[in-house]
Amino acid sequence: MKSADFLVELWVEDMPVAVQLEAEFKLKEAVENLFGREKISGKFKKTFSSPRRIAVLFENVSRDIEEQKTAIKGPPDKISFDSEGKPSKVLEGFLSKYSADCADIRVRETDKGNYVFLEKTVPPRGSVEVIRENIALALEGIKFSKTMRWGAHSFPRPVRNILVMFGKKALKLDCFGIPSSQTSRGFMGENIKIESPALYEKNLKSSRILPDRKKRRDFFEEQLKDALQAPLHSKPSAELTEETSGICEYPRVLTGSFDEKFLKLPPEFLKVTLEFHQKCFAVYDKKGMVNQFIFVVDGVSENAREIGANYERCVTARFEDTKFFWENDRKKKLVEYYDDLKHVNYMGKFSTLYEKAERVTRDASELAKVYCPEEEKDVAKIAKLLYCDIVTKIVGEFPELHGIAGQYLGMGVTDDPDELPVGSHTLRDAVTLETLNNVSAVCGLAERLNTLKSFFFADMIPSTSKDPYGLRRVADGAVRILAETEGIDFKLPEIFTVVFDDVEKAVSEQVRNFLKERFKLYLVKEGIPADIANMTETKFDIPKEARSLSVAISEARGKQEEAFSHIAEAAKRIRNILKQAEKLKIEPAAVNKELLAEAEEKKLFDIASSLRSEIESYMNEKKYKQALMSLVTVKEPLDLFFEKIMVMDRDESLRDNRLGLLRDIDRLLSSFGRFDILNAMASDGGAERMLE
Amino acid sequence: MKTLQDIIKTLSDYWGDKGCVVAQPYDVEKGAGTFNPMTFLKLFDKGPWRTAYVEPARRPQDGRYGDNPFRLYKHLQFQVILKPAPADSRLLYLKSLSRIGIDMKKHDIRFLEDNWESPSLGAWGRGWEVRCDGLEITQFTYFQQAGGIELEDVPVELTYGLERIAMFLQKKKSVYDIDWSETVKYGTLRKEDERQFSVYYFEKASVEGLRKVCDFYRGELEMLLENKLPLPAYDCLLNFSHIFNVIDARGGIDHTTRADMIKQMRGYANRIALMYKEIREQS
Repeated sequence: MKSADFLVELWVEDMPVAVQLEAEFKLKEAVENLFGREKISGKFKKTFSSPRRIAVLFENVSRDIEEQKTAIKGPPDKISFDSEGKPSKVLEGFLSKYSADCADIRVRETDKGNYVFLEKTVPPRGSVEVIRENIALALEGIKFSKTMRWGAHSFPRPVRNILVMFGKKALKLDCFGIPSSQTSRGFMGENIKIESPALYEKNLKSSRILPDRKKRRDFFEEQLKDALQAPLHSKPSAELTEETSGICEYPRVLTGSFDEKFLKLPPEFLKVTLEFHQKCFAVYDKKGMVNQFIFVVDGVSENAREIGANYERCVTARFEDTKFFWENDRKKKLVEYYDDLKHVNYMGKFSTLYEKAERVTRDASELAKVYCPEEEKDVAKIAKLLYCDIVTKIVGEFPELHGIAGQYLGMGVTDDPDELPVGSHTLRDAVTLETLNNVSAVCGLAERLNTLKSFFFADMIPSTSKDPYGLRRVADGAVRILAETEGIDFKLPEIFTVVFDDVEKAVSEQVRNFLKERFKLYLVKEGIPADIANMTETKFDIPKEARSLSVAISEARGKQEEAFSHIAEAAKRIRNILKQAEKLKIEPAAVNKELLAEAEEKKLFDIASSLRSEIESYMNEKKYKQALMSLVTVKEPLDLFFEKIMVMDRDESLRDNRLGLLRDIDRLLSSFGRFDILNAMASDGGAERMLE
Repeated sequence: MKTLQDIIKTLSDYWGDKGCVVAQPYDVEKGAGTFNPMTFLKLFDKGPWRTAYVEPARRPQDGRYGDNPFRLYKHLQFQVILKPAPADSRLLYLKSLSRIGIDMKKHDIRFLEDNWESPSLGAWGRGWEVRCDGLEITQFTYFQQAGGIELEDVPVELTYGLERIAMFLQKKKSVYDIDWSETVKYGTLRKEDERQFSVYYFEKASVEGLRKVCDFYRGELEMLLENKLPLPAYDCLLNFSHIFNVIDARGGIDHTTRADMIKQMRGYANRIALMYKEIREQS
């Protein structure tokens, strides 16, 4: 047999999911690099990973490595030898780099002159030998983002067994300080015989181990579906599913229940307690959460009842804690936590959360005066309460409950004006942006802009690769508010006058540009082609309009690609001509109808004049679709104009008049943004590039 | 059925047989068994070291007035140190569970990522919380650093939560129902203690007075370090650390101060470790 399957498995102490994924990838890469370097031919088949193992399988790995001839180019002939023909310092350096001697070199002609070449012939070798000699170094040399040390070794977690199989034979070698094994291992370190690399998965499966990540997740999801009878359901997020099935070798889904008394706690609290602490999932019926939960065990096949009772005890203990925190937190009203913010630092020692809350309240009130004066009082109240829940025990324990806990805590049982109306979600929404009304939008916006202002002012600005303070997410929240608040048309200049009146222009410009960049990404994520998001950038000062306009343009172009392509091309030409004229210090004239000599320019003038008022009124009424429908009628006259007319005529008055006409067209087009940077050939090119 | 004292005895015998010095708790208040000099200081000695002991861990914040069936201000840890960590550390641990009566085939034993860290000791390690049917029963850590010093022979530390294991084995719903011995319940010995200390920690402790005690220990630490006496200095650090926790439970420490005080403690831990090491290497 000329070739065989090849398997490497490292049995490691439990790795979390992120580490498994990295290790799986790096293991494959290390073996591929080794094969590439040593000219071992073979086809990559699959990688495996679970908490306790990573493995890679290759097929058709040749048993023989053919003779290899290599030639490495060295220094030019003339500087390689001294006058006596002995090797020069340069040549000696080259030879020592490859630990070769003069016998290995030949001088060869190239089109750049004669050069020294190091020629090596590696005789045919056996793959098994080469792998046995080199695999340990390859594996031990893998670089990881995070490692640990044990003994003299390092890896993300300690490696405790190594299996390297070529065909049905396990190779003998030493790696990570231990001799390789003839078998794989199970939970207690028991031997699991692998008959051949191809049978790896099957052999492990009979020991209740599923090494294939995807199959394991599918197996988990299938059981999850069967575990509950409709209308009961549980929908863990994709992330949680990946995590839960990822930290088992053989996930088994079971259900448990808890005392109904805990259902008096807010369901969000119960859910996060279950998920975060116990890696269990909440169960719901049509009305909401019920007193059941899903839990997952690894591998165990018997004793489900006792294990379930034990899980129930743990869940009860966690719920007791959550209840304890919450009952304590509730001893004070939300507003009574306000003064406690004085003890919470914000951005190191420079400020406190209290000071920030004061700033946010001021900015939110000012914004309310502009955008929703009738609700100014509510805005000021919510803004002030925004951070209060941060000092509660429950949010200390579960930071993701910020906003949610505040809402529950603030909900009035009396008519106390300090409390929040029952059933309203405004405070919570200002943090989570689940839904937006005027009050939550203005508060949420003031809060986010304040954060951006402080960090940009302190020059703690995200770079392309690093965003340690999560400012992108903050800006994305602001962008969503700007673009999606139904009741308010936010305008950036107005907002910046209010919120950024106390910092230098340079800082506010930086924040504005940052928001614009995030807004572009927002549009692209909403499905707007990247070139359109770039085109409408000049309109971003009114984000909601820019968004509707972008949607309208992208729909209109979808229907009339050719027309848009032509207009875009014409727009580019117009910009170029106007630029050229500016360079030559030629001033376009106000169009004089008398001077329009040719039919094509008359036609363009007429149509442009009638379009101008039409488009303007459509734009004012935000009827972008109609405005664009009108605009495309300019396509033909524009085409004809450029086909027939020479703008830079020798006659200066004709020339300046035509430039004037083009300037008018340019202005008309500009009401939609920058047509000149729209892709002439409609395509979605660039969309991927813009996405992070 | 195993009583709490049976479990302690079984674990002591098991690890004693594996070459551990079965030591005693160290009689100064502390938040975790790691703080016992048998662990923290002995890690800096040259050569192999194995020890096992019970240690009461006091965490004022966790007090629940004796009302909560699962949480205590003071709980018992069974601590094991194996330095250097043997290749079969994990298996040795799993076998210890079998020994106290946890059948691996009948329970869901999981190792969940939990990289232990003690900012005030300048110590961290890669490790896991070991769960048995969802219950955290042990912290399993390969120490990488302690006292701010990278450790040469990476040790493994096992910290068993004794009450939890007892509740699990005895199928009790409340920690106070645990059979400490065949005739005496955990609650009989500990419940009133939990109540009184919770009142003290949460309501009565004199924050201002305790701050002064902290200042006193700070001065003492400086003086002792100057006199090259790292062992008594270490006792002062333990006291300092515990008082810090008490003030914290009273809500007397804001974020800045907390960060500053932890940094101070880490600094002392580092100086003590270095001085201890130096003295040991000279002797």
